[in-house]
Amino acid sequence: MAHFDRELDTSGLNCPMPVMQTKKALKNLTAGQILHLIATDPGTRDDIPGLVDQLGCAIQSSDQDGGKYHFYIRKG
Amino acid sequence: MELSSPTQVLLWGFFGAMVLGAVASKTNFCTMGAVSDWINMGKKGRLWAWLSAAAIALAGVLILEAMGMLDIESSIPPYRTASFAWLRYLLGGCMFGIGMTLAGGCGNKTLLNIGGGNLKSLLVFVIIGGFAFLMTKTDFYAVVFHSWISATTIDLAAFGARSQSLPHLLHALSGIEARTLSFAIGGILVVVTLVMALRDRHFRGNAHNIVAAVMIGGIILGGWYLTGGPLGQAAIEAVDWLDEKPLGVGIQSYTFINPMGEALYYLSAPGDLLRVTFGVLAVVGVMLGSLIVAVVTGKFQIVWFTSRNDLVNHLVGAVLMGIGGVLAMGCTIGQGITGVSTLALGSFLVLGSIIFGSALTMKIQYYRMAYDEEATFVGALLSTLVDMHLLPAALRRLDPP
Repeated sequence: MAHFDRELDTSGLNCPMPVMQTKKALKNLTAGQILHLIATDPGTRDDIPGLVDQLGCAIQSSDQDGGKYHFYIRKG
Repeated sequence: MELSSPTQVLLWGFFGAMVLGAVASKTNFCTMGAVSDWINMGKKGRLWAWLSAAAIALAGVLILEAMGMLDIESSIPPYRTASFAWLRYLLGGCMFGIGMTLAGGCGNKTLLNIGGGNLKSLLVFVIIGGFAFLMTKTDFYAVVFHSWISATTIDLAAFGARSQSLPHLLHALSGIEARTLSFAIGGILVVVTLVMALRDRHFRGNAHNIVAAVMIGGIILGGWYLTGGPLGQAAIEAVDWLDEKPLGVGIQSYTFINPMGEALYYLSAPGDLLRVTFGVLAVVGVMLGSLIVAVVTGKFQIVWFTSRNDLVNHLVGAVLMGIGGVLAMGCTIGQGITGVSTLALGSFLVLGSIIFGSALTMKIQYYRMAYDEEATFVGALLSTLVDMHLLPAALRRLDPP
Protein backbone atom coordinates (compact mmCIF):
# COMPACT_ATOMS: atom_id res chain seq x y z
CA MET A 1 0.00 0.00 0.00
CA ALA A 2 1.32 3.45 -0.90
CA HIS A 3 2.42 5.73 1.94
CA PHE A 4 0.07 8.53 2.93
CA ASP A 5 -0.23 11.00 5.80
CA ARG A 6 -4.00 11.34 5.87
CA GLU A 7 -6.92 9.37 4.48
CA LEU A 8 -10.22 10.86 3.32
CA ASP A 9 -13.04 8.45 2.48
CA THR A 10 -15.85 10.06 0.47
CA SER A 11 -17.47 6.75 -0.48
CA GLY A 12 -21.17 7.19 -1.26
CA LEU A 13 -20.97 10.95 -1.60
CA ASN A 14 -21.90 12.61 -4.88
CA CYS A 15 -20.63 15.80 -6.50
CA PRO A 16 -19.85 18.38 -5.21
CA MET A 17 -19.07 16.86 -1.79
CA PRO A 18 -15.94 14.85 -2.74
CA VAL A 19 -14.39 17.94 -4.35
CA MET A 20 -15.21 20.20 -1.40
CA GLN A 21 -14.00 17.71 1.19
CA THR A 22 -10.78 17.10 -0.74
CA LYS A 23 -10.18 20.83 -1.03
CA LYS A 24 -10.56 21.22 2.73
CA ALA A 25 -8.38 18.21 3.50
CA LEU A 26 -5.56 19.45 1.27
CA LYS A 27 -5.63 22.89 2.88
CA ASN A 28 -5.00 21.22 6.26
CA LEU A 29 -1.87 19.39 5.06
CA THR A 30 1.64 20.81 4.97
CA ALA A 31 3.70 20.86 1.79
CA GLY A 32 4.92 17.42 0.80
CA GLN A 33 2.31 15.48 2.76
CA ILE A 34 0.19 12.93 0.95
CA LEU A 35 -3.58 12.59 1.06
CA HIS A 36 -5.18 9.25 0.24
CA LEU A 37 -8.61 9.99 -1.21
CA ILE A 38 -11.20 7.26 -1.64
CA ALA A 39 -14.24 8.04 -3.78
CA THR A 40 -17.10 6.22 -5.46
CA ASP A 41 -18.46 9.12 -7.55
CA PRO A 42 -17.33 8.47 -11.16
CA GLY A 43 -17.19 12.23 -11.70
CA THR A 44 -14.14 12.39 -9.42
CA ARG A 45 -12.01 10.93 -12.22
CA ASP A 46 -12.30 14.29 -13.97
CA ASP A 47 -12.99 16.57 -10.99
CA ILE A 48 -10.10 15.58 -8.71
CA PRO A 49 -7.28 16.06 -11.25
CA GLY A 50 -8.76 19.47 -12.06
CA LEU A 51 -8.90 20.44 -8.39
CA VAL A 52 -5.38 19.15 -7.75
CA ASP A 53 -4.06 21.14 -10.70
CA GLN A 54 -5.80 24.31 -9.51
CA LEU A 55 -4.37 23.97 -5.98
CA GLY A 56 -0.81 23.41 -7.20
CA CYS A 57 -0.70 19.85 -5.91
CA ALA A 58 0.08 16.63 -7.78
CA ILE A 59 -1.50 13.20 -8.10
CA GLN A 60 1.26 10.72 -7.31
CA SER A 61 -0.82 7.72 -8.31
CA SER A 62 -4.41 6.64 -8.80
CA ASP A 63 -6.18 3.36 -9.30
CA GLN A 64 -9.59 1.75 -9.19
CA ASP A 65 -10.51 -1.10 -6.91
CA GLY A 66 -13.95 -2.43 -7.79
CA GLY A 67 -16.30 0.52 -7.38
CA LYS A 68 -13.77 2.66 -5.48
CA TYR A 69 -11.36 5.21 -6.91
CA HIS A 70 -8.11 5.82 -5.02
CA PHE A 71 -6.06 9.00 -5.43
CA TYR A 72 -2.73 9.66 -3.71
CA ILE A 73 -2.29 13.43 -3.76
CA ARG A 74 0.91 15.21 -2.73
CA LYS A 75 0.40 18.72 -1.40
CA GLY A 76 2.52 21.25 -3.29
CA MET B 1 -48.05 -1.02 -41.23
CA GLU B 2 -47.22 2.67 -41.00
CA LEU B 3 -47.12 4.12 -37.54
CA SER B 4 -49.43 7.06 -36.81
CA SER B 5 -47.85 10.50 -36.65
CA PRO B 6 -48.36 10.83 -32.86
CA THR B 7 -46.63 7.47 -32.36
CA GLN B 8 -43.75 8.46 -34.64
CA VAL B 9 -43.24 11.66 -32.64
CA LEU B 10 -43.12 9.66 -29.41
CA LEU B 11 -40.67 7.10 -30.78
CA TRP B 12 -38.31 9.68 -32.30
CA GLY B 13 -38.52 11.68 -29.08
CA PHE B 14 -37.57 8.57 -27.13
CA PHE B 15 -34.63 7.94 -29.45
CA GLY B 16 -33.45 11.54 -29.07
CA ALA B 17 -33.63 11.21 -25.29
CA MET B 18 -31.59 8.01 -25.40
CA VAL B 19 -28.88 9.79 -27.35
CA LEU B 20 -29.06 12.74 -24.95
CA GLY B 21 -28.64 10.39 -21.99
CA ALA B 22 -25.74 8.56 -23.61
CA VAL B 23 -23.95 11.77 -24.61
CA ALA B 24 -24.48 13.47 -21.26
CA SER B 25 -23.24 10.38 -19.45
CA LYS B 26 -20.18 9.84 -21.65
CA THR B 27 -19.12 13.51 -21.65
CA ASN B 28 -19.80 14.02 -17.92
CA PHE B 29 -22.20 16.84 -18.87
CA CYS B 30 -23.66 18.08 -15.60
CA THR B 31 -25.19 21.46 -14.86
CA MET B 32 -24.64 21.15 -11.12
CA GLY B 33 -21.11 19.97 -11.80
CA ALA B 34 -20.68 23.03 -13.99
CA VAL B 35 -21.54 25.32 -11.06
CA SER B 36 -19.32 23.25 -8.74
CA ASP B 37 -16.34 23.49 -11.12
CA TRP B 38 -16.79 27.27 -11.21
CA ILE B 39 -17.32 27.81 -7.48
CA ASN B 40 -14.83 25.24 -6.15
CA MET B 41 -12.14 25.27 -8.83
CA GLY B 42 -12.62 28.46 -10.84
CA LYS B 43 -13.12 26.41 -14.03
CA LYS B 44 -15.93 27.24 -16.47
CA GLY B 45 -15.52 24.51 -19.08
CA ARG B 46 -18.74 22.68 -18.23
CA LEU B 47 -20.59 25.95 -17.64
CA TRP B 48 -19.69 27.01 -21.18
CA ALA B 49 -20.81 23.59 -22.45
CA TRP B 50 -24.23 24.20 -20.88
CA LEU B 51 -24.53 27.76 -22.19
CA SER B 52 -23.19 26.79 -25.61
CA ALA B 53 -25.79 24.05 -25.89
CA ALA B 54 -28.42 26.72 -25.24
CA ALA B 55 -26.81 28.99 -27.85
CA ILE B 56 -26.78 26.23 -30.46
CA ALA B 57 -30.43 25.40 -29.78
CA LEU B 58 -31.27 29.11 -29.96
CA ALA B 59 -29.49 29.51 -33.29
CA GLY B 60 -31.44 26.60 -34.72
CA VAL B 61 -34.77 27.91 -33.45
CA LEU B 62 -34.07 31.35 -34.97
CA ILE B 63 -33.32 29.79 -38.36
CA LEU B 64 -36.29 27.42 -38.36
CA GLU B 65 -38.70 30.17 -37.28
CA ALA B 66 -37.33 32.53 -39.91
CA MET B 67 -37.87 29.85 -42.58
CA GLY B 68 -41.45 29.36 -41.41
CA MET B 69 -40.71 25.77 -40.42
CA LEU B 70 -41.42 26.24 -36.71
CA ASP B 71 -43.72 28.38 -34.60
CA ILE B 72 -43.29 27.90 -30.86
CA GLU B 73 -45.64 30.61 -29.63
CA SER B 74 -47.98 27.91 -28.26
CA SER B 75 -45.37 25.63 -26.73
CA ILE B 76 -45.73 23.21 -23.83
CA PRO B 77 -45.08 24.80 -21.36
CA PRO B 78 -45.89 28.28 -22.63
CA TYR B 79 -42.38 29.71 -22.37
CA ARG B 80 -43.30 32.94 -24.17
CA THR B 81 -46.57 33.60 -22.35
CA ALA B 82 -47.43 37.26 -21.88
CA SER B 83 -48.37 36.45 -18.30
CA PHE B 84 -44.97 37.24 -16.77
CA ALA B 85 -44.81 35.49 -13.38
CA TRP B 86 -41.38 36.82 -12.42
CA LEU B 87 -41.66 35.74 -8.77
CA ARG B 88 -42.41 32.16 -9.85
CA TYR B 89 -39.35 32.12 -12.05
CA LEU B 90 -36.99 33.57 -9.43
CA LEU B 91 -38.30 31.59 -6.47
CA GLY B 92 -38.69 28.36 -8.41
CA GLY B 93 -35.25 28.66 -9.98
CA CYS B 94 -33.58 29.38 -6.66
CA MET B 95 -35.36 26.47 -4.96
CA PHE B 96 -34.34 24.21 -7.82
CA GLY B 97 -30.71 25.32 -7.64
CA ILE B 98 -30.57 24.66 -3.89
CA GLY B 99 -32.32 21.34 -4.35
CA MET B 100 -30.08 20.03 -7.08
CA THR B 101 -26.99 20.77 -5.00
CA LEU B 102 -28.36 18.90 -2.00
CA ALA B 103 -29.54 15.96 -4.10
CA GLY B 104 -26.34 15.50 -6.09
CA GLY B 105 -27.67 16.74 -9.42
CA CYS B 106 -30.54 18.22 -11.40
CA GLY B 107 -33.43 16.31 -12.95
CA ASN B 108 -31.37 15.20 -15.94
CA LYS B 109 -28.45 14.14 -13.73
CA THR B 110 -30.84 12.24 -11.48
CA LEU B 111 -31.95 10.21 -14.49
CA LEU B 112 -28.34 9.68 -15.62
CA ASN B 113 -27.43 8.51 -12.11
CA ILE B 114 -30.31 6.01 -12.10
CA GLY B 115 -29.01 4.63 -15.38
CA GLY B 116 -25.60 4.28 -13.73
CA GLY B 117 -27.02 2.23 -10.82
CA ASN B 118 -27.50 4.99 -8.25
CA LEU B 119 -30.46 3.94 -6.11
CA LYS B 120 -30.32 7.21 -4.15
CA SER B 121 -31.30 8.99 -7.35
CA LEU B 122 -34.15 6.53 -7.86
CA LEU B 123 -35.63 7.73 -4.55
CA VAL B 124 -34.97 11.34 -5.63
CA PHE B 125 -36.84 10.65 -8.89
CA VAL B 126 -39.87 9.29 -7.03
CA ILE B 127 -40.01 12.31 -4.72
CA ILE B 128 -39.47 14.84 -7.51
CA GLY B 129 -42.19 13.11 -9.51
CA GLY B 130 -44.50 13.01 -6.53
CA PHE B 131 -44.18 16.72 -5.82
CA ALA B 132 -44.36 17.60 -9.52
CA PHE B 133 -47.62 15.62 -9.66
CA LEU B 134 -48.82 17.41 -6.52
CA MET B 135 -48.06 20.79 -8.08
CA THR B 136 -49.67 20.10 -11.46
CA LYS B 137 -52.51 17.66 -10.86
CA THR B 138 -53.88 18.63 -7.42
CA ASP B 139 -54.92 21.85 -5.63
CA PHE B 140 -51.53 22.14 -3.92
CA TYR B 141 -50.27 24.97 -6.14
CA ALA B 142 -53.61 26.77 -5.93
CA VAL B 143 -53.70 26.60 -2.13
CA VAL B 144 -50.04 27.34 -1.37
CA PHE B 145 -48.81 29.56 -4.18
CA HIS B 146 -51.49 30.92 -6.50
CA SER B 147 -52.75 33.93 -4.57
CA TRP B 148 -49.41 35.58 -3.94
CA ILE B 149 -47.82 34.51 -7.21
CA SER B 150 -50.73 35.80 -9.31
CA ALA B 151 -50.76 39.09 -7.36
CA THR B 152 -47.24 39.79 -8.56
CA THR B 153 -47.67 38.53 -12.14
CA ILE B 154 -47.41 41.19 -14.83
CA ASP B 155 -49.70 41.12 -17.85
CA LEU B 156 -47.29 42.19 -20.57
CA ALA B 157 -50.10 42.53 -23.11
CA ALA B 158 -51.30 45.58 -21.15
CA PHE B 159 -47.98 47.19 -22.06
CA GLY B 160 -48.22 46.30 -25.73
CA ALA B 161 -46.02 43.20 -25.63
CA ARG B 162 -47.46 40.15 -27.37
CA SER B 163 -45.25 37.79 -25.36
CA GLN B 164 -42.35 37.75 -22.91
CA SER B 165 -39.83 36.91 -25.62
CA LEU B 166 -37.05 39.49 -25.66
CA PRO B 167 -37.81 40.60 -29.27
CA HIS B 168 -41.48 41.23 -28.44
CA LEU B 169 -40.60 43.11 -25.27
CA LEU B 170 -38.15 45.34 -27.10
CA HIS B 171 -40.62 45.78 -29.97
CA ALA B 172 -43.17 47.12 -27.45
CA LEU B 173 -40.55 49.57 -26.14
CA SER B 174 -38.96 50.63 -29.41
CA GLY B 175 -41.41 49.91 -32.21
CA ILE B 176 -38.69 48.07 -34.13
CA GLU B 177 -40.05 44.98 -35.88
CA ALA B 178 -39.88 41.93 -33.63
CA ARG B 179 -38.50 39.71 -36.39
CA THR B 180 -35.55 42.07 -36.86
CA LEU B 181 -34.96 42.20 -33.11
CA SER B 182 -35.16 38.42 -32.98
CA PHE B 183 -32.21 38.08 -35.33
CA ALA B 184 -30.28 40.88 -33.66
CA ILE B 185 -30.72 39.75 -30.06
CA GLY B 186 -30.51 36.06 -30.82
CA GLY B 187 -27.55 36.52 -33.12
CA ILE B 188 -25.62 38.57 -30.57
CA LEU B 189 -26.32 36.08 -27.78
CA VAL B 190 -25.28 33.12 -29.94
CA VAL B 191 -22.09 34.71 -31.21
CA VAL B 192 -21.01 36.17 -27.86
CA THR B 193 -21.68 32.90 -26.03
CA LEU B 194 -19.81 30.73 -28.52
CA VAL B 195 -16.86 33.14 -28.82
CA MET B 196 -16.50 33.40 -25.05
CA ALA B 197 -16.79 29.64 -24.70
CA LEU B 198 -14.09 29.01 -27.29
CA ARG B 199 -11.83 31.56 -25.60
CA ASP B 200 -12.00 29.54 -22.38
CA ARG B 201 -9.23 26.93 -22.38
CA HIS B 202 -11.15 24.64 -20.05
CA PHE B 203 -13.95 24.49 -22.62
CA ARG B 204 -12.01 24.29 -25.90
CA GLY B 205 -9.32 22.07 -24.42
CA ASN B 206 -11.78 19.35 -23.44
CA ALA B 207 -13.41 17.55 -26.38
CA HIS B 208 -16.13 16.25 -24.07
CA ASN B 209 -17.37 19.80 -23.45
CA ILE B 210 -17.52 20.61 -27.15
CA VAL B 211 -19.26 17.35 -28.05
CA ALA B 212 -21.77 17.84 -25.23
CA ALA B 213 -22.57 21.39 -26.31
CA VAL B 214 -23.08 20.48 -29.96
CA MET B 215 -24.97 17.23 -29.42
CA ILE B 216 -27.21 18.37 -26.57
CA GLY B 217 -27.98 21.69 -28.24
CA GLY B 218 -28.77 19.79 -31.42
CA ILE B 219 -31.03 17.31 -29.65
CA ILE B 220 -33.01 20.11 -27.99
CA LEU B 221 -33.42 21.73 -31.41
CA GLY B 222 -34.39 18.33 -32.78
CA GLY B 223 -37.11 18.07 -30.15
CA TRP B 224 -38.58 21.41 -31.23
CA TYR B 225 -38.54 20.41 -34.92
CA LEU B 226 -39.90 16.94 -34.23
CA THR B 227 -42.92 18.23 -32.32
CA GLY B 228 -43.42 21.53 -34.17
CA GLY B 229 -42.35 20.66 -37.71
CA PRO B 230 -44.33 18.76 -40.36
CA LEU B 231 -44.53 15.48 -38.41
CA GLY B 232 -45.43 17.22 -35.17
CA GLN B 233 -48.11 19.33 -36.84
CA ALA B 234 -49.57 16.19 -38.40
CA ALA B 235 -49.63 14.59 -34.95
CA ILE B 236 -51.43 17.58 -33.42
CA GLU B 237 -54.04 17.53 -36.17
CA ALA B 238 -54.48 13.76 -35.93
CA VAL B 239 -55.06 13.95 -32.18
CA ASP B 240 -57.61 16.70 -32.63
CA TRP B 241 -59.95 14.24 -34.34
CA LEU B 242 -59.81 11.68 -31.53
CA ASP B 243 -62.54 11.26 -28.92
CA GLU B 244 -59.97 10.10 -26.36
CA LYS B 245 -56.95 12.30 -26.72
CA PRO B 246 -53.48 11.28 -25.56
CA LEU B 247 -51.97 13.63 -23.01
CA GLY B 248 -49.21 16.12 -23.65
CA VAL B 249 -49.37 16.37 -27.43
CA GLY B 250 -48.04 19.69 -28.62
CA ILE B 251 -44.98 21.71 -29.56
CA GLN B 252 -42.25 21.06 -27.01
CA SER B 253 -38.72 19.95 -26.43
CA TYR B 254 -36.88 18.23 -23.63
CA THR B 255 -37.54 19.06 -20.00
CA PHE B 256 -37.57 16.71 -17.04
CA ILE B 257 -39.34 17.79 -13.85
CA ASN B 258 -42.97 17.82 -14.97
CA PRO B 259 -42.32 14.66 -17.05
CA MET B 260 -41.19 12.89 -13.88
CA GLY B 261 -44.63 13.66 -12.45
CA GLU B 262 -46.20 12.45 -15.70
CA ALA B 263 -44.18 9.24 -15.45
CA LEU B 264 -45.56 8.50 -11.98
CA TYR B 265 -49.05 9.39 -13.24
CA TYR B 266 -48.61 6.83 -16.01
CA LEU B 267 -47.25 4.19 -13.60
CA SER B 268 -50.37 4.62 -11.44
CA ALA B 269 -52.37 3.15 -14.38
CA PRO B 270 -49.89 1.45 -16.71
CA GLY B 271 -52.61 0.12 -18.98
CA ASP B 272 -53.67 3.63 -19.95
CA LEU B 273 -51.35 4.37 -22.86
CA LEU B 274 -52.93 7.80 -23.35
CA ARG B 275 -50.78 8.83 -20.36
CA VAL B 276 -47.55 8.08 -22.25
CA THR B 277 -46.32 11.52 -23.25
CA PHE B 278 -43.25 12.92 -25.01
CA GLY B 279 -41.97 13.79 -21.55
CA VAL B 280 -42.53 10.32 -20.11
CA LEU B 281 -40.55 8.73 -22.94
CA ALA B 282 -37.88 11.40 -22.56
CA VAL B 283 -37.42 10.37 -18.93
CA VAL B 284 -37.17 6.69 -19.87
CA GLY B 285 -34.90 7.41 -22.83
CA VAL B 286 -32.34 9.37 -20.81
CA MET B 287 -32.15 6.61 -18.18
CA LEU B 288 -31.74 3.95 -20.87
CA GLY B 289 -29.06 5.91 -22.72
CA SER B 290 -27.12 6.34 -19.50
CA LEU B 291 -27.55 2.66 -18.61
CA ILE B 292 -26.16 1.58 -21.96
CA VAL B 293 -23.06 3.76 -21.54
CA ALA B 294 -22.58 2.59 -17.95
CA VAL B 295 -22.75 -1.09 -18.92
CA VAL B 296 -20.57 -0.74 -22.03
CA THR B 297 -17.87 1.21 -20.14
CA GLY B 298 -18.05 -1.05 -17.09
CA LYS B 299 -19.09 1.80 -14.81
CA PHE B 300 -22.47 0.49 -13.69
CA GLN B 301 -22.37 0.50 -9.91
CA ILE B 302 -25.08 0.18 -7.27
CA VAL B 303 -24.87 3.11 -4.85
CA TRP B 304 -26.96 3.67 -1.71
CA PHE B 305 -27.05 6.21 1.13
CA THR B 306 -24.02 6.24 3.46
CA SER B 307 -25.45 8.24 6.36
CA ARG B 308 -28.61 9.84 7.70
CA ASN B 309 -27.25 13.23 6.59
CA ASP B 310 -26.84 11.93 3.05
CA LEU B 311 -30.45 10.67 3.06
CA VAL B 312 -31.88 13.90 4.50
CA ASN B 313 -29.97 16.05 1.97
CA HIS B 314 -31.29 14.00 -0.93
CA LEU B 315 -34.87 14.04 0.39
CA VAL B 316 -34.89 17.80 0.99
CA GLY B 317 -33.20 18.40 -2.35
CA ALA B 318 -35.76 16.28 -4.18
CA VAL B 319 -38.69 18.15 -2.59
CA LEU B 320 -37.15 21.50 -3.55
CA MET B 321 -36.58 20.32 -7.13
CA GLY B 322 -40.09 18.91 -7.47
CA ILE B 323 -41.73 22.10 -6.27
CA GLY B 324 -39.17 24.56 -7.63
CA GLY B 325 -38.99 22.90 -11.03
CA VAL B 326 -42.74 23.27 -11.58
CA LEU B 327 -42.80 26.81 -10.17
CA ALA B 328 -39.99 27.75 -12.54
CA MET B 329 -41.76 25.98 -15.41
CA GLY B 330 -38.65 23.95 -16.08
CA CYS B 331 -35.24 22.81 -14.95
CA THR B 332 -31.60 23.21 -15.97
CA ILE B 333 -32.45 21.64 -19.33
CA GLY B 334 -36.13 22.58 -19.60
CA GLN B 335 -35.56 26.27 -18.95
CA GLY B 336 -31.76 26.51 -19.09
CA ILE B 337 -31.55 25.21 -22.66
CA THR B 338 -35.04 24.58 -24.08
CA GLY B 339 -36.58 27.72 -22.59
CA VAL B 340 -33.61 29.97 -23.35
CA SER B 341 -33.77 28.82 -26.98
CA THR B 342 -37.16 30.61 -27.20
CA LEU B 343 -35.63 33.92 -25.99
CA ALA B 344 -38.27 34.06 -23.24
CA LEU B 345 -37.26 36.51 -20.52
CA GLY B 346 -38.53 34.18 -17.82
CA SER B 347 -36.18 31.44 -19.01
CA PHE B 348 -33.17 33.71 -18.51
CA LEU B 349 -34.42 34.57 -15.02
CA VAL B 350 -34.77 30.88 -14.18
CA LEU B 351 -31.30 30.07 -15.56
CA GLY B 352 -29.74 32.81 -13.47
CA SER B 353 -31.62 31.95 -10.29
CA ILE B 354 -30.81 28.22 -10.61
CA ILE B 355 -27.10 29.05 -10.87
CA PHE B 356 -27.41 31.50 -7.96
CA GLY B 357 -29.25 29.01 -5.73
CA SER B 358 -26.73 26.27 -6.46
CA ALA B 359 -23.68 28.50 -5.97
CA LEU B 360 -25.11 29.89 -2.72
CA THR B 361 -25.66 26.39 -1.37
CA MET B 362 -22.19 25.19 -2.32
CA LYS B 363 -20.49 28.17 -0.70
CA ILE B 364 -22.52 27.76 2.50
CA GLN B 365 -21.71 24.04 2.55
CA TYR B 366 -18.02 24.83 2.14
CA TYR B 367 -18.02 27.45 4.93
CA ARG B 368 -19.63 24.98 7.32
CA MET B 369 -17.25 22.24 6.23
CA ALA B 370 -14.18 24.46 6.55
CA TYR B 371 -15.19 25.54 10.06
CA ASP B 372 -15.96 21.91 11.06
CA GLU B 373 -19.70 22.63 11.41
CA GLU B 374 -18.99 25.28 14.08
CA ALA B 375 -20.09 27.99 11.70
CA THR B 376 -23.79 28.69 12.05
CA PHE B 377 -26.02 28.60 8.99
CA VAL B 378 -26.75 32.32 9.33
CA GLY B 379 -23.06 33.15 9.66
CA ALA B 380 -22.22 31.07 6.59
CA LEU B 381 -25.13 32.60 4.63
CA LEU B 382 -24.17 36.20 5.48
CA SER B 383 -20.51 35.58 4.68
CA THR B 384 -21.44 33.94 1.37
CA LEU B 385 -23.64 36.88 0.38
CA VAL B 386 -20.74 39.22 1.22
CA ASP B 387 -18.44 37.06 -0.97
CA MET B 388 -20.97 37.47 -3.80
CA HIS B 389 -21.00 41.26 -3.30
CA LEU B 390 -24.70 41.17 -2.42
CA LEU B 391 -24.19 42.42 1.13
CA PRO B 392 -21.74 44.98 2.56
CA ALA B 393 -18.49 43.65 4.04
CA ALA B 394 -19.52 44.83 7.52
CA LEU B 395 -22.01 41.95 7.67
CA ARG B 396 -19.34 39.25 7.21
CA ARG B 397 -19.30 36.76 10.09
CA LEU B 398 -16.59 34.36 8.85
CA ASP B 399 -13.30 34.83 7.06
CA PRO B 400 -13.15 33.09 3.68
CA PRO B 401 -11.64 29.61 4.19
